[in-house]
Amino acid sequence: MDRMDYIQAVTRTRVLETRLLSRARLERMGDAKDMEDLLKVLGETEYANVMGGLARVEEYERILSSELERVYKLMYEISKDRIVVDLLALKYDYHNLKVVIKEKILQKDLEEMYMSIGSMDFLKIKMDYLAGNLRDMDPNLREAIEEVERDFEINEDPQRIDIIIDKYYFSHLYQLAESTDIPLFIDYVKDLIDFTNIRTLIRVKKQNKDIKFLEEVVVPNGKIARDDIVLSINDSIEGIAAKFKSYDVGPDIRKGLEKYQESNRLSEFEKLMDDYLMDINKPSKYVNFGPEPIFSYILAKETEIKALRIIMVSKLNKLSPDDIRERLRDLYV
Amino acid sequence: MTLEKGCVIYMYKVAVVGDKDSILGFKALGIDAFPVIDKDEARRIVDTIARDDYGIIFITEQMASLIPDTIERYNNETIPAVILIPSNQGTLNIGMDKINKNVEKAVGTNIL
Repeated sequence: MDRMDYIQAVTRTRVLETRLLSRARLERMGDAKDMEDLLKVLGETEYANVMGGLARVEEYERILSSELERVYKLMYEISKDRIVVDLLALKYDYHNLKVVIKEKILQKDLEEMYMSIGSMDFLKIKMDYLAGNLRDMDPNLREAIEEVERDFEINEDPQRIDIIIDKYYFSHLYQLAESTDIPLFIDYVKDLIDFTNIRTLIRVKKQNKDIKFLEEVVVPNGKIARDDIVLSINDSIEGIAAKFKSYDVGPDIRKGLEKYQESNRLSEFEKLMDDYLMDINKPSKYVNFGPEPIFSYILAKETEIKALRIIMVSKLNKLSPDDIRERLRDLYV
Repeated sequence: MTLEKGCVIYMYKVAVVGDKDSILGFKALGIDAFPVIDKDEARRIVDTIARDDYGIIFITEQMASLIPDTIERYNNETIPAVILIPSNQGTLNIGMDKINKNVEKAVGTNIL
């Protein structure tokens, strides 16, 4: 990957960054008295373009998904190498893969569950899969499908579909990141894996499942060795926090686990995870030659859209502005 | 379960109607969730699923309070049973009032 290929792209991204929503504007939306009021504030931003044709405020999801689609399309256009965008789009491919597999098993139409974003042409994948033709497919997807089908025949357990596909997703994602040789991308994926594994560990402990199950669901390639996590199954929450404190994600894991002990909920842990992953992207603001700003911008947009969704859902369910503020993620700007 | 010859078990389905954020969780229990937004939609959905093999229809009090006539109509039918539940916004006490009234009707006095 030649860093000089990104001069034009970074310049364009810099302009787009100025249009990201500021914390102040998000808080204004959080303080809005109702959804109509909130949409008025949103109409003053770059979202105005995708807000047309909204019949009811409850259809807010349409605004958010068309904005996300627009961002991905634009970034694929701007980026010299598709792989920079692929890193973030890949999760949608695997999401769609889960949907199509479940559609086939249930013989049900789950059309509204599909995402129209992805790093591959999903319509073709769907056709090929339904026709039983896996030859032209990405080898990772093909292996995932084959393993799911083998496994489902034996166990008939829908949870295992998700487990297997997630496993393939993370290994595919790691391969992509490794192949770019960009430290930020590799760090991002490794830290994401660490957070995900610790979260899995806590959930498995909470459900009182055994170590055999944990071994199935913990994914490799994080900075924390897979076995270290698996062997922590009988440790106390404090013990886990202490054990991993020297890793990059350690301080945030400790904070997240403290909150978990207070409230017995992982939502704060997830917020800290999102904040951390946003934080490691912040130095991209000072990168002028290279693909990092593109990656970080997409992540910033995803974070922004997540924040907007939190505000909108809270508004529709009449949560107080203070409750909303507590749940909001840190932004890129 | 052993059955007498000629007996057929008839399985009714269970539905839940209300605003999306209140009812989506019911899906995990195998209950069919029908998110609705306004009263016209609610009325239409309740009427459609009532004819469609649903034995029990749970509906949020918030939604039910918008369509009292429709709810009243199904009160006089055995199937489906339309049962009011609180939504995530809390309860309006319509459901509990109804149970109290039915108890009064059945026992003659409110023993709850």
